[in-house]
Amino acid sequence: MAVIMLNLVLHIRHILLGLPLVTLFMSCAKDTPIPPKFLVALPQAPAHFPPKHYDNPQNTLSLEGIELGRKLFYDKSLSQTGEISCASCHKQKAAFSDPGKAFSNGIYGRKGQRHSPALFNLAWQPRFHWDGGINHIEIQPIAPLQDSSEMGMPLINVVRVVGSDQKYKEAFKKVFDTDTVTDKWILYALAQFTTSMISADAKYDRVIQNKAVFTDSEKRGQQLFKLQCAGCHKPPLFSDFSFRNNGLPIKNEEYGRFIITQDEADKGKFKVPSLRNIQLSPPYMHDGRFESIDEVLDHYIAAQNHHPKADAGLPQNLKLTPNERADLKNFLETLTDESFISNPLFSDPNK
Amino acid sequence: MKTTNLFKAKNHRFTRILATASVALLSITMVACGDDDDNGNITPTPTPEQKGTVTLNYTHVWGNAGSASPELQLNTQLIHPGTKDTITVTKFKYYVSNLRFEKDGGEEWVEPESYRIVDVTDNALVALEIGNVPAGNYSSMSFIVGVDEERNYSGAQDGALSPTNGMFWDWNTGYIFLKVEGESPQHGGFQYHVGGFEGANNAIRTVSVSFSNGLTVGDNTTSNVNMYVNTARVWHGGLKVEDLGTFMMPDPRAVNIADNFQNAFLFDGVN
Ligand code: HEC
Ligand code: HEC
Repeated sequence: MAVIMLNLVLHIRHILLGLPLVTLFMSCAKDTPIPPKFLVALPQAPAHFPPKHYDNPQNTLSLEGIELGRKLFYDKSLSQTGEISCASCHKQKAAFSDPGKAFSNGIYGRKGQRHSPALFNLAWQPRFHWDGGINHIEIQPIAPLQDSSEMGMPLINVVRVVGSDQKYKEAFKKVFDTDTVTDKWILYALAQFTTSMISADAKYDRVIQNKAVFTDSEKRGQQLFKLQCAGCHKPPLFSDFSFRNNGLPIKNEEYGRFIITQDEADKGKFKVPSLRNIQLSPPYMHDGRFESIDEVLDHYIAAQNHHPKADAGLPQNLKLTPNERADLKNFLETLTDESFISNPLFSDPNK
Repeated sequence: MKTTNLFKAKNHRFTRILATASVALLSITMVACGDDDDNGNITPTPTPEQKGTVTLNYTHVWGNAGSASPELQLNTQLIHPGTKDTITVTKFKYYVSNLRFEKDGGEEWVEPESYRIVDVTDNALVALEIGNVPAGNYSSMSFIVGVDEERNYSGAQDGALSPTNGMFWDWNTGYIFLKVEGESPQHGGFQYHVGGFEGANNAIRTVSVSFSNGLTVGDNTTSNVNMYVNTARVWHGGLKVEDLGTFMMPDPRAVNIADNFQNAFLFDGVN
């Protein structure tokens, strides 16, 4: 009964990441096989992060809950054709964005009108989607599930599919102590998974934690970033989660935040995306129009000129020498979190 | 029914005071002779609160004349009494939330988790059962047509608030407070999805109903509150089908309809 767990080596970084701990189990019965779930810890936020936005006392995180959410996230049977899962458009190796695709393919190869954003640190985000139309992480999945160009499954059908699967039923019983699988429990489980996708182990974080040091070029890049970019891409999350017009010329009548608020002032405003893992998640912007960081920087050099309603906080008359450009890019590279994209807690459970 | 006089009402209240007093006496006696538990302590027997049920009967009609107006028939051509538009209603569905019952002295009972959907089908009468209403004499009640602001921000929810009820926008978070769909031979199909809880497009409306002769809720009894709901009121003020088009998000047209529908509820009586 009483399994006493002694951590022989308590490597802080590994706890933070939810990577396997080196542990010794003592139990009454000798050689009891250890279920793998005991080898990981709940993902934790580092000390330099602000308090989380998502906190639902009725949906307390557990490893089993996260695991259940992960199963759902990678489950193609939640789509109309049985071919698309959340992970089809949000791939771990690309920080859960869709690498190389301006617009992802949903069921029947259909394409939407917006680029699949990278997913991490969602527990800190107050609103979701490029236009901020969704105000709570728990209900976010309803949109892709039901969208006819994404997964095309009415929520009620999702409940039917999940609720008629014996393995799922057992898992829901275990995690939420419920005999009936309703949409609320499914959404709770998905939120457990999405809010525990914490990316906080980039070189940038290790520098803050005095475990690494910036090169001179990265330091100069950081100064440039503070001056030109941090007003919107605010550290440590690298977004202030506001909606801004960053000067992109309007394409395809995409008005962003305006669609939700119907406020003229919001035309051309989109959610400021985090720049963590930015090297891993091209193409860039809400419509994936830029394929490289260099194209993005070219845009910011003259961003003020492209759109009449461009944000006043954009770089003014930005000029970047080749060295400065290299410095800025080197700094952005320190935001890449390799352990996030290899964390087994978030990987495909079917592999 | 309608002639219940003041004297009778007062008399009734007096009887109720007597009844309450005797229940109080009874419970004191019961405490005094409560069972001894194993340790010899006296376990007080709690006074059971007296509670009854109120059934809200919403009869959906087409016109503002109460029982003299025809009942709303779905999938049937109707002529709007004001605009003379020909309208076929195929769906009429709305939220009734945050029920409150007020007593004469201002004391009120607020129903917890108070969310229900009224879905008019073949039957124009939709009855909502409100359980656990504390016994007493009430002078008025109120409810929201829609869902309060807080629950539009609260993430995943169950029961009447489950998004599977088809009264929820997934791409622009919020509940659909009132869904009216149909067609008119002149203008084709229409869908009014009324919702919105922020700023100028806030479409949450409170309906107050005062019971002209009071509503008495007794212990373990069921009382009825009867109302007529004038569904034609959606197009009140000369609103024509062609003026409205179709809308599926917070919108000034939704606000207009919410204002109209707030005044669609006509109190008929209690029994
Ligand atoms: C067909 C591709 C596709 C599928 C499948 C898909 N998504 Fe997305 N996801 C997107 C796109 C595109 C957006 C941006 C939508 C927008 O802004 O309108 C997005 C946005 C998001 C966001 C908001 C991120 C932010 O920063 O605002 C989250 C969270 C998310 N998806 C989770 C999920 C989950 C959970 C599932 C499965 C239930 C899922 N996605 C399925 C393409 C997809
Ligand atoms: C005034 C606010 C603001 C400033 C300052 C700003 N950005 Fe942005 N940035 C945005 C917004 C808003 C978007 C999303 C725009 C869109 O998709 O339509 C964005 C998008 C990006 C993206 C694409 C991210 C993705 O996931 O697609 C990159 C990269 C980027 N910015 C880099 C920078 C850099 C580097 C700087 C400094 C030179 C900078 N930004 C300054 C607001 C700003």
